[in-house]
Amino acid sequence: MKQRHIQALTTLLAFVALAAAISLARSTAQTASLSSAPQTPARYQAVEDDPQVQALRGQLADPALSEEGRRTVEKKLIMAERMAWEVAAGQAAPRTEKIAPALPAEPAQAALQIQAADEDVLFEGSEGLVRPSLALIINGWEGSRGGARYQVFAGSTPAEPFRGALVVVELEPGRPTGAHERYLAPDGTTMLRILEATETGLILEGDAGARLFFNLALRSFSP
Amino acid sequence: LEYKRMKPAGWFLHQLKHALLLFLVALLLGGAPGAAAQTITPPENPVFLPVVIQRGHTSLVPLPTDSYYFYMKTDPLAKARALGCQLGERDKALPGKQESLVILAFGITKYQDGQYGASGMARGGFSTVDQIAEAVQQFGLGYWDCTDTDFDSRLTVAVGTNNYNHPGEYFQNLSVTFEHGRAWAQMVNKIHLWFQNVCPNRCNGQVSVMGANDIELAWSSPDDAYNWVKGYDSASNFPLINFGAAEGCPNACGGGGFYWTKDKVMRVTSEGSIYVLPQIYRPDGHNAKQWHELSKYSVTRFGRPIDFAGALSNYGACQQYPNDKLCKEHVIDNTPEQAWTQLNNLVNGATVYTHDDLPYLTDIRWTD
Repeated sequence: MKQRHIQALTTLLAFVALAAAISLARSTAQTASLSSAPQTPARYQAVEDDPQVQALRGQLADPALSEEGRRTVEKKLIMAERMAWEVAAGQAAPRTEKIAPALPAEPAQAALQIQAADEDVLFEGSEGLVRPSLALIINGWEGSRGGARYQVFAGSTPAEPFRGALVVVELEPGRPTGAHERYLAPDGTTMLRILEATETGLILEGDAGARLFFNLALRSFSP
Repeated sequence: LEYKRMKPAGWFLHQLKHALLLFLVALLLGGAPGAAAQTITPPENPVFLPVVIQRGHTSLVPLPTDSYYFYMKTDPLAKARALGCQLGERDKALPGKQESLVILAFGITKYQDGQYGASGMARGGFSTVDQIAEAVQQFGLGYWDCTDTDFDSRLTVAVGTNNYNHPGEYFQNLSVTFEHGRAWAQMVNKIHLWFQNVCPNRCNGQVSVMGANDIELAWSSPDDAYNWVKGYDSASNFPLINFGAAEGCPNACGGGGFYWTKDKVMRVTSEGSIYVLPQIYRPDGHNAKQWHELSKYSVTRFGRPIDFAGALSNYGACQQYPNDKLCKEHVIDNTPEQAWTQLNNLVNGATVYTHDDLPYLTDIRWTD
């Protein structure tokens, strides 16, 4: 009986040794596989786990989606997968101490070519510097008066009933803009255009051809 | 019965033998316990099965970032690096992983001396796409650098212009075009490559880039804006954020001599690679209602709502210029939290459609 027990124990130990050997071999093979394709599984997994990718795939499964909508979602999905993939590639890069390269030389004056920066200038439109909900702009003037630099935009209020309006901006030093203040033209004027600047203000033309003057210091209109 | 006849030691060995045999079989078939997590091998041709997820409402307001009307006149690279660093330091100081989006708005589209670019937020200004790209790269680099030991927080920089055109008889901004849109997309692609290939350690995957356009319905014809968007779509590898306003919508979209139908608004909000991060400036909730109505229309038109990326507020700019007429009269001074909540409550409280969570919240201001 004792001999039977010893034989059984020996058999079991042989099984265990065999199992351990197989397990070790599999583990080694996996490691070799991972090292020959570094980070790839993680990158696939990152794409799979990306919330945006998942959301878009969910949308594609919606039967109510139109053909046009489907094309849009498919395009977004491709972009989202690409972004997730690239982010994962970056995240797999070494996490060593971050040392940013020195700042490149500033582009000398090339970054911005100001037209007539220190002079009076008349220009068309607002160049996107006046919010459409404040005024619709026909043209503008920029210049310095009394030690301050101004931008003045002429046009009308944004919605009916239209009324002529000026938007005056006193530029803060070193800044591209300032507070926008709006002044409404006298009744009956539905649109303003700046014709020219004087020492004290601006000569304006209403839509019916009537001339007006706007005093910049007093912020008031006069015939 | 057989077990009853065995001696205790024999019975134990018999049981142990069975257990070990089972263990061995399990090992041979499926590997050792815990090995499953290590056995992912990359498929040659991955098949992406659709994942149905639960879209739903969230009441967690994202942490707002600062976006900028970026003035290119004074030291743009140093300024960009410093502003990016400022956000990086913030994200590093916060617990956990942060996901931020920042819009850098570079003004109106320009085409000058054979080069595409933008006004750099200055009247009469012109910066080329290459100069703009450099500033964006420095912003991203500053973020990466100053997140320091935080390798997990992430930033998406949306590089913005707008669709400003002038309807007057004396002047037209002829650069709101297909070609400009394409040049903008190529610039975005190049910036991405810079983060991938030039930034040390690929910026550890912490910085991404997208295009952006402040599409204002009162600033150009629908066709000009759509052409620009199509141009962007023709070359871009990355999405476009529309951070505009829906003037006059839903009943009479447009203004300033430009008339849009809702279908034409859809072309710049729901087609192609566009995500919308709308201006939700008005404290009375009007802006949020406009976008909600447009999103409902998108459901009837395309079978899906507008893809909102979040909300944009103007609170920072109002803090900078409190005497600005529209700020002073509380017309455009929603706080970031108000903006996001107004939009989220409508689009995620809707009965006709649901919407994904709005992941981003950003507040715009001017740089010096």
